[in-house]
Amino acid sequence: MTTTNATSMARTRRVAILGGGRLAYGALGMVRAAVAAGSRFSLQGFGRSAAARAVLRDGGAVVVDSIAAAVDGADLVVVCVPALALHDVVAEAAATATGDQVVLHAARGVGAGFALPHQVLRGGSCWKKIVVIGGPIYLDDAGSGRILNAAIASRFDEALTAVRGLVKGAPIRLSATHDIVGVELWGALSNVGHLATGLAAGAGLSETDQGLLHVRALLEAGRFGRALGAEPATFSGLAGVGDLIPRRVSSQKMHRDVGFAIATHATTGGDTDVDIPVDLEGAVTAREGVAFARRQQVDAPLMRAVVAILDEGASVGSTLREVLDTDLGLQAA
Amino acid sequence: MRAADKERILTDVISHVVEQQLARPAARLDEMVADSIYHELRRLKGEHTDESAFWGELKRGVGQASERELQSTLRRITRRYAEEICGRFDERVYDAVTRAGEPVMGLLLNAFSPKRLVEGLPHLLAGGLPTLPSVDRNIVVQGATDTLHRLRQRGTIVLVPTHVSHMDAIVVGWALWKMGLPPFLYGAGLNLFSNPVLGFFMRNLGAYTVDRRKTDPLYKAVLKEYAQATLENGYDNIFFPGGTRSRSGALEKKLKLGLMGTGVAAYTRNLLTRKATRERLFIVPATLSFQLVLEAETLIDDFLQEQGKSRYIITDDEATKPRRVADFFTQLFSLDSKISFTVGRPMDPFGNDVDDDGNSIDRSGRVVDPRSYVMRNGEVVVDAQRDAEFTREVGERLTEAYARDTVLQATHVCAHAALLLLRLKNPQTDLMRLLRAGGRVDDLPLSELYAEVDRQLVELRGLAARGGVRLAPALQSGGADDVVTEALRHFASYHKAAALQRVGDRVSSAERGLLFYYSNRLEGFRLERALGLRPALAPDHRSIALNSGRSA
Repeated sequence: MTTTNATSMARTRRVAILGGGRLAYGALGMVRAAVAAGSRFSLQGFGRSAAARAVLRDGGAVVVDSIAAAVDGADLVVVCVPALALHDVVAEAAATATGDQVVLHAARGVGAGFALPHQVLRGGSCWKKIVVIGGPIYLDDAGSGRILNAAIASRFDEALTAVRGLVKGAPIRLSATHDIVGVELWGALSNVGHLATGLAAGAGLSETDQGLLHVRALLEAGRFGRALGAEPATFSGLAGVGDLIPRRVSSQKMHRDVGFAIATHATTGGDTDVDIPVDLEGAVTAREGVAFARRQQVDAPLMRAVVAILDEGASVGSTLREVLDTDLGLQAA
Repeated sequence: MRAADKERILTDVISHVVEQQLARPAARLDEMVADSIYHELRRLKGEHTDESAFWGELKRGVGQASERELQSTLRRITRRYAEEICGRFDERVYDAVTRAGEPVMGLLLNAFSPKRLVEGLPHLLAGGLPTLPSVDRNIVVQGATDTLHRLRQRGTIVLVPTHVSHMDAIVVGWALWKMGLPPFLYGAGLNLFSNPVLGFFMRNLGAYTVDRRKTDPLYKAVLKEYAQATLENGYDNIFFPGGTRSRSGALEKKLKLGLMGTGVAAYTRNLLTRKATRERLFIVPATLSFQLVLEAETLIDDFLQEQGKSRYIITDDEATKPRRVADFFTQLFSLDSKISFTVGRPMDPFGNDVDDDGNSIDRSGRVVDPRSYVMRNGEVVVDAQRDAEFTREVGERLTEAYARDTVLQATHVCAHAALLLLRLKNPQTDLMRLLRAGGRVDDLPLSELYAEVDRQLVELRGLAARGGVRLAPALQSGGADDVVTEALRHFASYHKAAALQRVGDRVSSAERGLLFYYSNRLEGFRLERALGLRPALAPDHRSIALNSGRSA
């Protein structure tokens, strides 16, 4: 039941966009579509680089000079930065953040101590009404005029409603759930899976084996989900199998590419080291995941294998084969 | 409750509940009334009382009743429930008890035991102070007591203690009095009012009745609305979010948040109506810790028998047996045993910390306006789903606070150490079998117990230094032998069979269920991991873990 003490007039809602990458570009496109469909939004944004500011400006946002200024007075805050940047963003946003703001993010990774993105956002501010958007979102699809598909998750119905309002009229199908832990968890672990399959492809493992590494990632997500209170059903929905299948079809993505490059380099013995981005979400998730698994006594062979390859120089092929050799039936138990 | 407020609150409760019921989607009034009648007649089956006559009369009239008559019946049922819950309250008794101070409060604490009352009565009648032992030495009140005082000046308090024993409400009442605070309202099981002395004081010191045998959803709605209305009117409340006494002896992990949810609802309604002089509302966790628990035998027996389907209402436990109560108190006082009441850090209804001035503080340490959480588009909004989510979050924070602020006693550590060792020595015996039938190895060398207690003390002292738990004085500095001696002294004193006893240079359990009960207070602190064992209880602490053997 929802009631108010007065009839609210339809008013222009203020949206703050933080960051100027592909996600911001996509978000701005959604808002533009919603405005075209009759919604009333005003946009203000902040980006650190000139390129990010240009994206915001071109998307119709008023560019302001700080995160705090962008967040001040906003009804809805869209955070378009990678998981590792969330901590710094929220530290700056906290000064003007308010409890009624709805915060939407799309981070697919974890922070220090295996903190999920909503925990990072909540831990540094008064924000509680947080929504994650995950699942098989392909911004390329939007660019081609195709319909996007995504899962949105929040513990608050009103936050889910606010996000639906933001994209009303835009070409996107949204499936909503309260299981923010499950959606964020799969977002993070799916990148470990893509990294692992890239490594597997580079090391010459078969397509079947590559597919099975994705299945291992899904199993580890399920185990972590049990430890963190996620709903098992989430992993068989859009933020799980429903994300895995479409992404597997379209496999040429960053994590897979990095994994492939590392494995190829290791196999051919190239002269220069492969440059692994420091904030590569799949690598960070695997490292934090191994530590979390140790603390919580959860089995995480895939993450252990990825960390062993990336950080300890373990052989790509034999390490991943060891993971694949583990009895799947027992692993699933 | 002040007499002037009582009728107004009752009127508000009745009108809100009836309004809510009529607004329910797809609600049919005749079905609603029939549902109440069905639940109550089923409960009263075979009884021939005024109560059953009342419901019988309603049943006869409901068949041909018009819409207007049905509404009137619904109102009548609601009023009946509301009046029963609210009960009687005599300000004169309240004033007399609180003015009289410690002797009478001590008397109240002893009111479980008619024998002790009779013993003390001549002295009281002669005008002297009672010879009953002072409970001052036995109850330790600690924690954020000053903050509780300050916050009471700034808003309404919802005190949410752990629930161990029927003694809890009385100990909390005594502690509040000791802190110079007036009695808080709280819902007490109807069975507790059967003790005439206790019932008299409880009713006049703020207890309202909760009849857990009533399964009618309308009754629950009235109960919830009553609690909410008292909060809206600035009455401090005590809720026991465990819902019932912990059967396993473990700290509550799965809370019943129904009444807790009235906190956000009351806060929001006060913002909307602007009727409250003190709109702020503070949730204050508290823990109770006993070396020995009056009803431990019955509680653990219930837990083991039912395994997750515990009786919600126990009407035949030690609290109903005067001799057991007398024994309990005699031992409590003669052992100089301590009961700890610890006030935790307060929070707002949204799970934010609250500072000493009543400001809500977010996780980054900034002051936050709590009103913003119930606002949308600049307006205060009532939203049941949102409120349930905030309440769930408060529940999570409460379980953290309970672990942090619980005071571990010698009996807990000693029992935990002994049970872990018995589990280690009987690796092929599952826990339930070990508790019921014993294992191949049933006793332990005292030296091994000392060593394990010593190991646990090191871990627990480290945790306590980091603020993760509180330790009773004996655990803070005593050696393992002191801790074991104190625990064995307690175990030998009150229970029919000792949870742990010394025979020469060995120890054994004469009642393994009790050993399990006292051991369970340390569940969740992960002391078993170093021994390669899994937790004994499931994560919600409501059943034995499916796999409680050795960890992989």
